[in-house]
Amino acid sequence: MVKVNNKEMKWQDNMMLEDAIIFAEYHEYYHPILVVTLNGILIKSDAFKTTPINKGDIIEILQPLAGG
Amino acid sequence: MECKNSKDINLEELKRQRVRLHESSFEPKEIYRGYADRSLYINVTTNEVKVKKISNDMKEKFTGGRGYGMKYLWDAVNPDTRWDSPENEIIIAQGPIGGITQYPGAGKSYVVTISPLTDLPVDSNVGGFFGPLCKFSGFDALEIQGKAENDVVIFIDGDNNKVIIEEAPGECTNSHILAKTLTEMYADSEEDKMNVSVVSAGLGAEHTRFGILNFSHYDLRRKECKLKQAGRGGIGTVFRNKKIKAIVVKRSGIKGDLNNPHDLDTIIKLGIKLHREIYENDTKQCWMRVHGTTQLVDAMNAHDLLPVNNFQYGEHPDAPKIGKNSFEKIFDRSNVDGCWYGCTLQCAHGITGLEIKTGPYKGQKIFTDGSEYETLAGCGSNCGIFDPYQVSETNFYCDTYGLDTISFGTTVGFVMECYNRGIIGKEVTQGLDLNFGNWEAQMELMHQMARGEGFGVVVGQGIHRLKKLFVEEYGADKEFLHDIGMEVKGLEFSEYISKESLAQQAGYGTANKGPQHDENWLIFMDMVRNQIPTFEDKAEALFYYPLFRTWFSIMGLCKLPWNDIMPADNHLTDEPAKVPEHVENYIALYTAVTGNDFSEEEMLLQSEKVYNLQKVFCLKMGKGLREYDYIPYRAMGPVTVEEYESRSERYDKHLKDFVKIDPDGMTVEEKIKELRKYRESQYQTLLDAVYKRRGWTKNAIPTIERLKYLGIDYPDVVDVVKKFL
Repeated sequence: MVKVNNKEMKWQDNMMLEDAIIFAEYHEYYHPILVVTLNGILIKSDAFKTTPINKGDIIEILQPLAGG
Repeated sequence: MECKNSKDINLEELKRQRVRLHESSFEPKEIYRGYADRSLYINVTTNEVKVKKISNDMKEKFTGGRGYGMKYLWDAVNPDTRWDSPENEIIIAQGPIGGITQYPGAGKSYVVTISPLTDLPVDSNVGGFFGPLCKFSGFDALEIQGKAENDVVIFIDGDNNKVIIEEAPGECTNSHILAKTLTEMYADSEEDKMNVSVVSAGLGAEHTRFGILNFSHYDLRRKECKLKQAGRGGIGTVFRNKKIKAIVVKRSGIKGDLNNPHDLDTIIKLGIKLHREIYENDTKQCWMRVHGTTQLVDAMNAHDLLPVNNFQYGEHPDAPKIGKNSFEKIFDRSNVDGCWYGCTLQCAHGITGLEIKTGPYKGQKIFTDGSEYETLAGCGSNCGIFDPYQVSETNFYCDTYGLDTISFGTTVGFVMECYNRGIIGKEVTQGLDLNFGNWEAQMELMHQMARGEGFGVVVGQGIHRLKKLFVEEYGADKEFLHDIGMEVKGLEFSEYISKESLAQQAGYGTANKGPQHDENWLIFMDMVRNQIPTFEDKAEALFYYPLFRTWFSIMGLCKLPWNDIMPADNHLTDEPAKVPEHVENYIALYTAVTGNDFSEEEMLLQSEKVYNLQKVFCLKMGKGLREYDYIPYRAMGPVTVEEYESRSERYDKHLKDFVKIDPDGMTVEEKIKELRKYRESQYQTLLDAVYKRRGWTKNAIPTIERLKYLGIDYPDVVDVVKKFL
C-alpha cells in the first residue's frame, strides 16, 4: 500500500508519482500549481511521470493558496 | 481596569456608567440594485451625525468599498494630515455585491485610513457580518472623523433607524471580552446576537503603530464571538487614538434579497454552481474546509518560500509542526466555521479550550480563531518558533490586544536578528533575551505593548522607525539595517520569501499601501512555473492581477472563492491562472445585482480608476515616487555569507547562467556583490516595464492622459500630479 494524502492506494509494479496524483483526483493542471512531496521530499512537476513510487511510500499533494 | 473574564461583567453597571452624547434618527432606506446611495458620517469631536447622499459621479467612478473609502479620505485630508490628525478618517464600506447570501465570499468590508506606519492611505479587508449589517441598515459607507474627548461607543441601530454615541468608561478594551460584552448588551435574545456585530481594537493598538480592527460575529453553537480582522496598516491605532472603544451595528431580518437585485434567479444559480464545485472539489484541491490556510506552511516550506529567522531562509525541518497536519488535530471541527451567510468555502477554523500560558488571561481555557498562514509564518517560523500551541496563543493575544500578526511577526523577527547579531543587547531590550525561538520573550514584548511599557512599546513603532533608532542611538550600520529590515514605505512585509521571484519583488515594491500580497501573489506563476518569463510578461501580470484583485475590494467580495477553488476542467482553459469560469461568474453576478451590462474590460477599468486615485493619493501624501517602490535587498537576494552559503548551489548557478560570471575562485563576499548588482538592476528594469504598462512615467507618476482616460482628471487630482511631472 501507498498513502496518498492519508488515503491508502493499492501499490502495483511500475507505478509512477503521476498515478498517485490521478488516484487523488488531481490533475497536474487542476490548479496551476501542485506541490507534491514523496516521503517528505519535494518532487518537481516535470518529474511526476518519471518518479517511481514504492510500497509504503507516503505522498502528500498540497494546494498553495495566497495567504489569509 | 481591564477585566479578566467576560463572566465578571455586570452589564447593568456598564449601562449606568454610560453618558449619552448624541441620539438621532435617520430615514430608513432600502438597498436597490446593491446600493443605498448614501453614507453615514459621524464626527466624534462634535458628535455631529449626518446622512450624505452619494453622487452619481462618485458611484460611477469609484463603485464602492475601497473606492468609496479612498474618495472620502482624499476629500477629508491634506498633505500635512497625519494619522493622528483629527481630520483623518476611518471609512468602512462594502460594495454593490456585498451582503448577498447566495454566492460565497460576500461579507467583506474594506477599511481605509491614513496609516500610522506609512502616513499613506491604507486599505485593509475584513470579513464577517459588520459590513452587510451596516449596509442593510441603509448605508454604503460609514465615515468616522474627529477625536472624542473620552472613550465612546457608537451604536448604529438598523432596526430602529437611530445612531447613538455614548461615553463608555466601564467596558474593557480587549476585543475577545469587549465584543462578547457588547453583543450581549445590544441583543434582545440569544438568537438576536447573530444580528449584532462589534468593531473594536484592544490595548495593544493604543501603544503601537500596527493596531488592527476586529469585526465580530456571534457563533450560536459555541456561544462565542468570532473575530475577523482588518489587519494591515495600523487602522486600530487610529481607532483608539480617536478614543473610539467600539462601533456596534444591529440589523435584524437578514434575507437573501435585501440588495433588491436585478435578477435573483441568476444569483441563486451561480451560487448553487459554486457551492457544488466547492463540495465536490475542495478535498481534491485546497482542503480549505479541513485545513484552512495552514497547509500553505507546508507548501511554502516545500518550495523554500517560508520566512525563517527574519526572512534569512525559506525552509526549516520543524515547519510541519505548525502546518496542516498539526492543526488538523487542534482545530475544533465539531462546528462549521463560516464567515458571512452563504460562504461554503469555510476557510476559517476555531480552537476550543486553548489553555493560555502567559499574560493577563493565564490559566484560562479560551476559544480563539485559528491561526492563518500569515500568523503561523510571521509569528512562528519567521521568529524561529515552531510550537502550534504557542503560535495559537500569540494569535489569540494579537487578536484581543488588537495587533497585526504580520507587522508584529515581521518586526519581532527583525529585532531578534538585531539581538542575535549583537546590534542591540539586553541593555536595550531591558533584559529580554530576544533570540530566535524564544517564545516567552516574544510574548513578553506583546504584553508590554498592551501595558504600554518597556521595550515592547519601542518595538511597536515598527521596523521603519526602529532602523532609525538603532542607527542613531546604538550606532548600528545603516546600510545593513536597510538590507534586513523588511519594510517598504513603512509597512512590514507579509510572509513570503520573494528572493527568487522578480515579479513578486515588484508586486511587493509597487503595492500602493506597502508590501502586502493581496495585490499580487505571483510567486508560483513566476518562480515555480516560469509562466511569466519576460519583463513584459511580468509587467502584464503586474498590471492585470492588482486590478483584478482591486475589483473584489470595490465590490464587497472575498477573493478566495475566485482562485482557491476551481472548476474540474479549469486546466483545459487558455489561462488557468485567471480561472476564467469564475471571472465569468463575477461578471454575471455584477449584472444580476446591479442590472448593468458588464465585461472583463469594464471590470478592469472600474478597478483602474480606484487604483490610480490611490496612487495619486500616495503622491499627495509625499511617498508616491519611484524611490518609494524600492525594496530591502533581503527581499531580492542573500545579504549575508550565511544566507549565500545556505543556497550556494542555486546562487552559483545563477551567477553562471544569468550574470555570466564564473564564481570559481571568488570569495562569498564577491559573489554576493556581483549577484546583488545584477538583481538590483533587474528590479529597476522591471519597474520601468511595470510603470509603462500602467500608463505611468518612469518616476511612477500617472500621466494626465491616463487620468483623463480613466475619467478621474478632477482638478485637485491633476494639481497633485502636475507638481511631479
